[in-house]
Parts: sequence; C-alpha cells; structure tokens
Amino acid sequence: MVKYSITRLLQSAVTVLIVATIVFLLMRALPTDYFFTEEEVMKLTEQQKQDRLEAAGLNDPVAQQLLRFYNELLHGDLGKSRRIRVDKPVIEIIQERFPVSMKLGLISLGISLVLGIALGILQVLNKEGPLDHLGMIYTIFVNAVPPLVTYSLVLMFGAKVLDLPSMFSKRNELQSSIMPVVCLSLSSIAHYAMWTRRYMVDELNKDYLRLCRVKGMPTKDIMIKHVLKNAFVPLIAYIPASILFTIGGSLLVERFFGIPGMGPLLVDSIGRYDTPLVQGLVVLYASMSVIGVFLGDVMMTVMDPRIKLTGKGDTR
Amino acid sequence: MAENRQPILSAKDVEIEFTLRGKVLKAIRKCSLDLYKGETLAIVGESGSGKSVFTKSFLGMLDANGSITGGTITYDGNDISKYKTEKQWMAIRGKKISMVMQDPMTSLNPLKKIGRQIEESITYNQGIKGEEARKMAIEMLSKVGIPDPERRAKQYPHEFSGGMRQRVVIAIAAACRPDILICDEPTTALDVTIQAQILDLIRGLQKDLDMTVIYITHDLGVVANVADRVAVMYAGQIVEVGTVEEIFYDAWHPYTWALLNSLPQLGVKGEELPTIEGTPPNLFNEVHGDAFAPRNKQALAIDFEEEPPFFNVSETHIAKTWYLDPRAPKIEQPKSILSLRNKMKK
Amino acid sequence: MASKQDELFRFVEYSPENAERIGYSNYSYWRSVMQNFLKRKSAVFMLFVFVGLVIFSFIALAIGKYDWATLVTNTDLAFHKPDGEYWFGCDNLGRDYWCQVWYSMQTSVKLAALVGGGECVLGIVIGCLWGYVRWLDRPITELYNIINNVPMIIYLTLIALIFRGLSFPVMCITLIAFGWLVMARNVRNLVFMYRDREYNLASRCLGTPISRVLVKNIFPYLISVIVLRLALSIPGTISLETTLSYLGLGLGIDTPSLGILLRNARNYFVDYPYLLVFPAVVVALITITFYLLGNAFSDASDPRNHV
Repeated sequence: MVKYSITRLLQSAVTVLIVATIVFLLMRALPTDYFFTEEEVMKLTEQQKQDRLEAAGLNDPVAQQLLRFYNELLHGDLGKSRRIRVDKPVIEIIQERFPVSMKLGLISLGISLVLGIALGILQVLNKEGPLDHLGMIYTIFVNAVPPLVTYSLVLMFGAKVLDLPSMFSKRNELQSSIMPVVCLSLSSIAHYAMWTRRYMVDELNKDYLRLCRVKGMPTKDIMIKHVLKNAFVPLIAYIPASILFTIGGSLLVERFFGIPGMGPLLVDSIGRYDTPLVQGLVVLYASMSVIGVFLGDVMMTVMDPRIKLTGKGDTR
Repeated sequence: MAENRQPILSAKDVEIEFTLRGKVLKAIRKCSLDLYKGETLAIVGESGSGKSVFTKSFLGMLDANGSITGGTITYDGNDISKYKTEKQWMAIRGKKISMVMQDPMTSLNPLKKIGRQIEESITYNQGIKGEEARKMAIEMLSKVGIPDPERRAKQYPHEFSGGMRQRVVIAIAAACRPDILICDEPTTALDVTIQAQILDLIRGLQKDLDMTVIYITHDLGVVANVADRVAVMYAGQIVEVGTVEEIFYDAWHPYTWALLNSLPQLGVKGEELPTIEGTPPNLFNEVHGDAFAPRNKQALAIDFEEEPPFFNVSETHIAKTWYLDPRAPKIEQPKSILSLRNKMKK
Repeated sequence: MASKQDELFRFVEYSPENAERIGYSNYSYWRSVMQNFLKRKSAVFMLFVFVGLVIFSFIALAIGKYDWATLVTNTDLAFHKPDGEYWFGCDNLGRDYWCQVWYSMQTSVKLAALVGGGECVLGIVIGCLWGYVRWLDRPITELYNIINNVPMIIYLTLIALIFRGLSFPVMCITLIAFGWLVMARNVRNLVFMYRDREYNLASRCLGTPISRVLVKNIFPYLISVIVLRLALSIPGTISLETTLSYLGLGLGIDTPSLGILLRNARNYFVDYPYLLVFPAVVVALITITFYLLGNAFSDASDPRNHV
C-alpha cells in the first residue's frame, strides 16, 4: 500500500511538471506587448520595452528560462508577481485570496451534498412519481440552460424579491454570500442528485437484493441497509477532489458577484502577462487535481473491501 | 407415499403473464402441482420452460411486469396467489418459504461481511438479535461445512470460492428455518466435483431442520440423486408427475421420453447422441393443443387440435398426453426407455 | 363430437420446419429507432417546438421593425418598456431589444450547430481510429492527456488574447478544437468495448468484412452515445459561448451574442426585469428542448431498448 502510494505521488509530480512546462511554453506564445499596460505600450520606446523585458528575463532563450523555472520550483519559490501586485510574492497573493473562495466553496459543497443526496434518494423512492419528475425537471433545467442565465435569474429573484445585495462585500459578508452560495450549489445539487439516483437504481437491479427479499427483509430496510450503503461508495471517491477544488473558486460566479477570490485570478494574470503568477497558479491547480484523484482512490480502497485485496495481488 | 396425505402447498391451474414492451407473454399456462410434507420434489425442464417463474410466484418474487392472472396457490389455508401487499408476503418469505438461487457469485452483497448477512436472516425470521444472532450465524456456517467459521464470518464474499459462497447462500436460506426450501439450479454454476457435496449438504439440512425441498433443475443426474417425486415441465405447463422410479422407468409423455433419451449416459458408443429437434414454442402466441406436438415425431392429429387432460398411470403418476387415451393407437414406450431400467439397474 | 374427435387419433407426418418455427419478425435497426422515438409523444412535441423556434427566429427578424445592422443608439429611448412599437422594449442604449434577442439567438444556435457538427465529425473519426487501430492507441492517448490536463480556461484565454476578440469563425474552430476530446473518448471506449466481443470475433472468423462488422454491429451502439453527446454538446456550447462572451473572452462586441447581451444588462436587469426575462426564456426553451430531444433520440437509438 505504501509503495503504491509513493509510486502514485511520483507519477503525479511528473504530471504536474509536464503541465507547468506546457503552460510555461504557451505563455511565451503570447505577443510580448501584453507585458505592458496600455499606457506603457504607447508611451515607451522600443528600446525601453526591450530593456524592461531583458530585466524580467524574458528575452533569454526559452530553454534557459525553463531551467530557471525548474530551479526555483525545486526551492519552493513561486516567484513574485509582476503585474497583479508588483513584487508581491505569488504565495502571499494566493494566501490572501483563497480563504474567500474556499469558505464559499465549502459551504456550497456541504449544502449540495446534503440536498443533492436527499433529492436523489427521494427520487428513487418515488420512482416515476411526481417527485421524481420534479427532480428531473430541476436537473434538466440546471444542466441545459447556460449557467449565466440561471445565475442572472437567481440574482433577479434574490435582489428584487428577497432584497439581497447584488454584489459581494466583506462588510456585509453573511447576506451578500447567500446568492453566490446558491449559485454555486445549483448545479452540484443536480449533479449529486443524478448520481445518487443512478447508483441507487443500479444497485436496485443487483441479484443480491433478491436474496435479501427472499430471506424476508422488508423493502425499507433493504433500501437503507444495503442499497444506500453500497451506492455511497462511488460517491465518496469524489469528495476529496471536490474539497480541494473549492480552493480554486468559480470563475464565473466570482466575476458575476464581484467576489475577490481565486477564480478570476488566473484569467487576469494571463491577460497581464504576469508569468510568475500564472505559473504558480497552474502548479497549484495541477497539484490539487492529482492529489484529489489520488485521495479519491485511497478512499475507494478504504470503503470497498474488494479493491484493497486485489491491489495487493491477492487472487480470488 | 402420497396417497392420503394432504399437500402442504397446492397450485391449481396457475396462469402467469408478463407484459413485455406492449406484448403479453403467457409464461405459465394452467399449471398444477401438489407438494407434500417432507418430500423432495424435482421440477425438470428446458431453459425457458417456466420452472423458475412458477416457483417464484410462491414467494411473490415475480418481476414487476409479471402477474398471476389465473388459478390458485393454496398454502397454509390461504390463497397466496392473491397476495398483493408486502406485508402479506413478509409472513411467507423466509419464515415459511425460502429460496436458494442459481448464481452464488452475485447473490451476496459484496460490501457486507458474510456473518452480518446470515445474522440478518436470523433476525428477520426468528427475531433474535445481537450477540445471540451472531453465535447462531457462526453455528450455521459450521453446519454448512465451512471450516474455521469464527474467522470466516468476518470476511467478505469475494474471499470465498464459488462452492463456499453457495454454502453461505444455503446457510442464509436455511437460517430462516423455512418449511419449504426452493433450490433453483443450485449446482449449475459449480464444478462437478462440488455438486455432489452441495446436494449432500442440502439433504442433511433437510433432515436436520425438517424441511420440504423443491429442486429446480435441467440435470437428470441431480434428479436421480435427490428426488422422491419428479414433475416434468414444458412450455409453461407441468406435463408429467410421478415418483422418481415411475418417471425414469415408466414415463409416458413423449417429452419425458425425449429428455431421458438425450442422457449421455444412455448413449451407445459410436452412435450419434440423440437430441430433441426444433425449439420450444413462442409463448407470445397462443398455443393450440399439445405444445410438444410440433417436435414430436410420432404426434397424433388430435395433438394439434386439443390440449390433452391428465391421465392416471397409477395413483402417484399422472401424464398429460393423448397417448394414454383409450382411443389412442397402441403405442409402446420407446425401446430405449425400457432398456433404461436395465441399464440403471446395472 | 365424439366420433369427430375419435378419428383424430392417428399419426401425422413430422415436419421439421414446423418444429423450428418461432415466429419472430424481421428486425430493422432504423425502423425500430423511428418506432421507438415516435412512441414518445413528448419527444415529438419537443421536436416541433425546437424546429418551430429556429424557424421563428428567422421570421422574427424579418417581421421585426428594426434591422440589426441599422440600430442606432438613442438615449431617449433607453429602458423603454415593451409596447406596440418595440416588442421587447429597448436596452440601456435605446436600441430595439427584439432584434437583438433574436439575432443573438441565431448566432448562438448557428455557432452551436457548427461546433456540434465539427466536434462530431472530428470526434468520431479520431475516436474510431483511436479505438480500432491498435498502434494508434498510445500516441493519441498521450495527446489527449496533454491537452486535457491543462485547464481549458488557459487555452481559451490565450487564444482570446492573441486574437483580441474572436470572430465567429475563429470561435468555431477553437471550440471544435477542444470539443472533439470528449466525443473521441466516448467513441473510443465504445469501439474498444465492442470490438472484441465474441460475436464480432465470430463474424470476423466467418469472413465478414470489417466494414460490415463496424456498420452493422458496432455502429448502432455508437449512434446512441453520439446523439447523447450532441444533446449535451449543443446546449453546452451555447453555455460556454455565453460564459466566455460575458467574461470578455468570447465573441467581439460587434457580433451579437447572448453573453454580450447579458453582460450589458447585468447591472440593469434588477430594475428592468424584461431585459433578462426575454432572452432567458428564449434560450431556456431552445436549450431545454434540444437537450430533451437529444436524450429521447439517444434512448430510442440504443439497441438494448428495441423490441
């Protein structure tokens, strides 16, 4: 088990490195004009521009820049932001912003899990009934209609009818968080409800349930003690990844409600050619992604006794 | 053996239909069967003859698109074919009638310990919980022949081999202490070497727990091994019932002859193995007359027109064929059947 | 009666054909698909609604009083409520909303259709090759992983910056360039799965040409998945385009699109709900009907649901 984990982590590290490299190279594909603000583009002379680029190390051959990047990375140094906050260490910028995103994200995750799974269970218990159809309608709406439209509708309803603030602000944090959290949760609820329903229906078709019925278990008990427990297992695998992703924040929601979180950071920093920040963020996101998947696999081995043993090479 | 006793379960003219994508499949067509206490009855037939469906109806375990549309099934004084609610079936399932199913690989919950699954059986049918139930579960495991039951009870299904899993399933079914145990092809999915052990196990439990056992099988070898009485089923109907000797040595229905004929053990070395040509009828359509007639090389004209009634061959032996009508031409049982008696005695 | 019955007690000829008669009808794949689809009345209804909407969008522009190209800003008319003259009212710059909404809708649908078609073609071709030709599996998988691991937003931002406001064709190509990934993976998984099923191996052993195996055996399973992907892809493309345009990473301001519309209106629609309601209803209708339509067709074309 330990050996397997270490191999996985090493593989993940390689993946992260590859991703970071690709992004690094992609950034170099941007025209260098983006390095400067609009003002500077017009005001500075060509020579001045070259000088600044030289100072930032952007005129060096790509290979050299790459090696420098790896070197810094190994030392845990993500560099300093160049444009978003001049000369502020990337790590500090991230530290400043991720709590907001994470807080909203975790609250939303909790709500989505509870409501989503509950909805899924209700749907299965009431299969083909009115509640099931209502749940389906909700899921279809959330999945088909562009999220921007749904968020706008939420905003309109919340601001007009419930009189909630339409922009996020730290001063009125509780009230102004309500609509963003709702928006964040909408599609997750539909997602969890759909998965719960699907897994439970799958389990309901399994053979061992027939044995349970034959040995005299009432349907209610079968649902709770067997079906539900079994259906949970695949869901659990996604939870660590979901928790980690809350760090990243949602680009659209944060832009829509003006939340100073991690979401818009990546896009903004690319736009301003803030290469250290971009690279730092990419390394962060890629690491989160692989760690999330890894933790999910670990959870699966914990919850499903079949997987553990086959992993060890036991034959049965 | 069956003369003056009252049957504990009596099915009369049962009809079961399934709706499949708008069409109606008549899976069981006027099927009758009696079950007597303490006996071992084998129901024999091809795949698709309706053996499983028929017995599932005793437990209310038909699929959602199936229903009993005719006849009665009398058990313990009640007509259980009319049961609709789960509450009614709860009184039957497990406690009175229990079932061992065909595929041990998928019959157990892969994520639950074996001990727990047996305990559930005990709790729901005998009302015993907790530590006592746990002890009984371990006792049950050793009864079905699983070594080291204390340790095994804490393991998961995938840690057991096929044969052992089937023993566990039998343990679960037997732990209900039912009056009637239905075994649906319990050995089909197992190695031949394990088959005999499982049959012995069931026989032992039957004596131990005073159960009546119904075997569903297409393997005449199993029938010869375990059965007291045999019922032959074809195209949704029982066509012949009798004691095991009567069926093997004195069968009268042409389908039974064909079945017995195709036993490999009876084949003569060097000759082609006899088979039954053709296929069973499509039960989406109405069947006229004797269902086996199209495949019967020596069919009578009336076989195609009218369905034969049951004729008595002896007090314990009935067969549903026009051959036994006094008006029928003189028909002798095939030579192979007659010589079967001799071959078997050898 | 008795005598009539008596005379039937004679032997008859045995006919092997009768013994084999089962009575199952001929199975034609496409006929079953059509039958299955038409049986669901709701699906047929959706089809009419969807086609109706698309056709209406053309009609709407024709009968609309104002032409998109000749819209003038007129601050006097700003936020003019819907009435006889301006059926959808006016936006914050006094421009007729009716033609804006319908024009944006057309743009979105056109984009989605083109992207969907492109994804399909590219995805199916690559997916089939990926799944069927063994030695291509490794290289294409690596390519897929590389593209997939980098968050798409990075690619999109970069492209938006390089092109400084995307034109319609560029947007199309970009979205297709990332859309084929999912389709190809789905197709490849299916081809992989069915390629070596026993009945296909048996067919090949019996000398059936590979093309026939592909078309008759594997393809019906593919169709269901492809249609399902399409059903999700078209509303998905509309969503993506909306989001990107809203964030400034999508179509330029000159091309009307839903995202731009909503971006302009974001600050105002709390006070003037009609600015949101009209486009929202139109888009919701289109996306939902297409989604349901696609799901229904996908169910109908799944061979496992056939009689």
